[in-house]
Amino acid sequence: MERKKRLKNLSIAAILAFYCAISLVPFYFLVIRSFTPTLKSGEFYFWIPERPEVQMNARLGNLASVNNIDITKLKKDFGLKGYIDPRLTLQQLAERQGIDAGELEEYLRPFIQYNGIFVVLSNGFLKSLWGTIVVAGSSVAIGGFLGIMTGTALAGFRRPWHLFVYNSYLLNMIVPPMMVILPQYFIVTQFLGLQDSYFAIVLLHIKGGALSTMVFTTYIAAIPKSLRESVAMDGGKHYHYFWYILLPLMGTPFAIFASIMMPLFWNDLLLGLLFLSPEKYTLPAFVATLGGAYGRNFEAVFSGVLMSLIPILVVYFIFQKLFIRSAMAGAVKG
Amino acid sequence: MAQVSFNKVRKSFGRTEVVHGIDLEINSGELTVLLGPSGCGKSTLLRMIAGLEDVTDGDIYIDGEYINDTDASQRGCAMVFQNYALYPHQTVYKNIAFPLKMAGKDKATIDRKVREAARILQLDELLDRLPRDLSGGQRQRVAMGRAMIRQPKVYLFDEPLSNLDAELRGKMRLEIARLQRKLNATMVFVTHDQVEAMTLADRVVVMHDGIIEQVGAPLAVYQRPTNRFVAGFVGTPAMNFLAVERAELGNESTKIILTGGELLTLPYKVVGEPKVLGVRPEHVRIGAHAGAVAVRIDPFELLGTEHLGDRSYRYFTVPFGELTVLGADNDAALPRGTPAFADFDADNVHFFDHAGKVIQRGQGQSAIAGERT
Amino acid sequence: MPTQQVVQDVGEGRRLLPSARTKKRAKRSRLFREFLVDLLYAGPQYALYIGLLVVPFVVALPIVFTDQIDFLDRDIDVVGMRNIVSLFQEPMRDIFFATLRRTALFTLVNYIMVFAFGFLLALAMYELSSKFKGAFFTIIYMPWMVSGVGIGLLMIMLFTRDTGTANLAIQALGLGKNTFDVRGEAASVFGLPVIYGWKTAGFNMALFLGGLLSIPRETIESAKMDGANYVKRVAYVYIPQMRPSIIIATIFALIGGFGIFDELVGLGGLAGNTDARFLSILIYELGFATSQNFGAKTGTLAQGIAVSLVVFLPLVSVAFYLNKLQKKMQYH
Repeated sequence: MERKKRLKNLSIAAILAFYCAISLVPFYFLVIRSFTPTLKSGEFYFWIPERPEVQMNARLGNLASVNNIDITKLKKDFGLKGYIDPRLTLQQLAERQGIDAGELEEYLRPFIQYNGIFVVLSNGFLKSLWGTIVVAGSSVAIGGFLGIMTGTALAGFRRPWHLFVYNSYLLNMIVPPMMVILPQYFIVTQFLGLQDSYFAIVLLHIKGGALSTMVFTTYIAAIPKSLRESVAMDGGKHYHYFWYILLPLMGTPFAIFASIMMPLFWNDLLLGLLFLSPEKYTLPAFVATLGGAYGRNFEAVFSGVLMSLIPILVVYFIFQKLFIRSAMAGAVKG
Repeated sequence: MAQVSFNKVRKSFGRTEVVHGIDLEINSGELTVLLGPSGCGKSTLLRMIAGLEDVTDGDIYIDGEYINDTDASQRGCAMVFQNYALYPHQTVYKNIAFPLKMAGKDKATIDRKVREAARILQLDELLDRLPRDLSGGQRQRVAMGRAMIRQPKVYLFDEPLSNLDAELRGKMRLEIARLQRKLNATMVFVTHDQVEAMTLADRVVVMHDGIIEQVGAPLAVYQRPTNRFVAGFVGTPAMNFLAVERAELGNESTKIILTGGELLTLPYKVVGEPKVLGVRPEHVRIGAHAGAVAVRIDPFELLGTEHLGDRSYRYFTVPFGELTVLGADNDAALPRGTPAFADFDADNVHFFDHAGKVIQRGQGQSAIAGERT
Repeated sequence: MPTQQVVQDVGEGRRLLPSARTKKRAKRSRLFREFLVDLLYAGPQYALYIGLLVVPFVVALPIVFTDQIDFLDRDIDVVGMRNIVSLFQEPMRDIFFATLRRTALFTLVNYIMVFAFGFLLALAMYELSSKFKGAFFTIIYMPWMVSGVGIGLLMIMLFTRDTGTANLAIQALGLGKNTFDVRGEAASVFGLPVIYGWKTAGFNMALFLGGLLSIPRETIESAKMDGANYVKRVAYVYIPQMRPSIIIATIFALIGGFGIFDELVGLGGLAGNTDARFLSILIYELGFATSQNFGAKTGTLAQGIAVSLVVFLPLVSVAFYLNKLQKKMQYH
């Protein structure tokens, strides 16, 4: 009996381990492909291939179109003036413009060797990253705060309208974003005048409040009523209770809320695409344009995917216990 | 120090009325205990003073001021909750200081007062601890400290001792009584534990089903209950109640016929129609010899004996009902088949009419016949 | 009692007896104060909710009865039901029905994947007792962090002809050339749900695991005592008691399936891959194409709203009904 049980357990563990291994494969190859030169996309690499060297006989035009080398910047950095024929090879360029070929090679080496990363960085990745941090961060912070406030009012459903408000938030969970995005766009851009603004996205992120209301109302309702009463007896007003007692106790529910919403805010494409100009794009929109504009430079596209994934993965691994617990908590409550 | 007055106060939750028109004066500087079984409305009454429940109908005054709709934070009451309601993330110091912080007192004043309160309550060593690191008794004392720090007009206690073990409860009872004398404060204390009520109270308010059954000093309530509920609720084990068949009034005496046909002659008049005779376990003896006011009880059966160390109670079935008797008389003295008698202390026999009201007492209590019911 | 009488007299003397009107006003003002406090706390979030979810809906709804081309169009006429009718007529009909068919197929396959991944993983996790449980969970949940665009691009990375890693790997093993193709309807209707299932596996697993954990152990044990084998226990003990989780998963799959957008953008849905043009892409194109220059405009903004109404209103009703059902079905 005991042996049979252990055998059963072992086989389940083996199956799950197998699934996990398969599950990691796309991540693995994402890393490999982020360092596989686009020109070698047709070959299979199980490991990161050797870094390519700068080919001095490569034509400038090809470098510009395949590797997205910025010719304008190159000209500026070497103090070159006038029209440069894209059919020239690097060797020819060096000879005609009288620059040291070795210097040119040194200059181009990082662009060629880590082409994906450099293309992504030079196209405004950091700005996009910062924008995403701002948007996702403030969405979580403001959304959480508003959720705590809502929970404070609604917890316990002391009045019939509390329950009505609570239930009406449910609607947000079952209305697909696409259904209301056209009208929302209309209101936010025409009515509120928020064009090309991070704030518009934050507003639309926190507008729903279904999950935050659910999490915080449930959690606050579980706090003994006597704490609130005690504050009143101690001569404190509702804002004293909120500020001194409730907020410090909201760590756990806030963590649950944040860990569920953070990936959604971080990865939201639609709002970024719609409300921002390309210079201010958040990461998903940024990656989407990489896929569109640099569709031919696979190395850059996959580097973009990888680089936009890493920050949220780091957060995920730091708080993984929390993420799992929140997923379960959310699931149990429904 | 303040006095609290209730004028026809009612409270309903939805359609259920739980407090039915209470009139009550809580005297300044006294410790008043609201005593009653759970669900009798005593906690609701307390919470209405505090402002934690709104008053459905009627008025509440603190020091003559109408406070029905005054915010709880403005009433000048302090409350010790059943679960203490300590702020879990704040140290003992911060917990006690909280009311002063709310009142906007400066740091130096707060510090002085907190330390003073801590000294009185022997919490000096614990000021930096969090509530979760305290024992039940310590938490209780912190809650008391938080209540007294603001020198409230009225202290409210909502069953504050019910979460403590028996030994600690006894200790804290003394503590609260000592504190009350020291502060000379108005305190309202809710409990279902009559020992607490008897030991702590200046005045006991016995409540039942949303009405006040009796108000009086603890001993008065014990010795001279005004109705059958109070008589039965106060005192452990409960008073013996025996059904009365009829009463025959004589000149200077009354003959009481119990349901079993047993006869009892009391040396005084009982006016009215007594339906029930009540007598406490300590006022009835069982023995082989008849005393002054005795009833023959054979055949009887001893159901059991409770030895409490300092005293014992014996539970009997007798022809006219059941009897609980104080005293560990040697059972061997009452062999089966021999005559046996229940001997009543005539001065401490109570009579209740069909509605359960006391109608006329034995001579021991005749003086307080006018007490409110 | 004499003492009591005295006190009462003192009390009567000091009382300020308020009139009935004063009392009434005091009560009303207290209730109003309490309401204001609640409003102060619940108001901001709710205002956003109403303003950005309910109001836009109400404001934009009338557009469906006009001929508004885009958000900049100022020359608007009322055209009645024409937009809705036009979805079922040439030339919109072909596009609309094709996208609807793709979306519905995708949603169906995706729903199967929810169980293929989420439910089976949850069962495995539920039966497993191992110290690696946490690690498994962490890895299974990890793809949830990949953005929708990332999912689309991962598919391109794996399954593109001639350059897709999966194709190349199969080729390297000598098992065939270009086994998969990321272009084509099969990829977006059958391939994408598999990858999407991989992404949402952890999420769905957590959902079902929550349902499994809410089953009282005694019911399982007593089924065991009654001699039910594992499959029977799952069918007759687990699943009936998990119905709320299953319904929630159904709602999510419905809404998620019909609303899928980001992944399609990754697959090039806005860049000319017509096989990745699902309803959401169509709505986006109709609403924003001219203002943001995504290819040629296939119709008007009003038609876009017509599409979202025709498709999503029934869907929301179904979801709403399912949610009600789920509330009713909770045993515990």
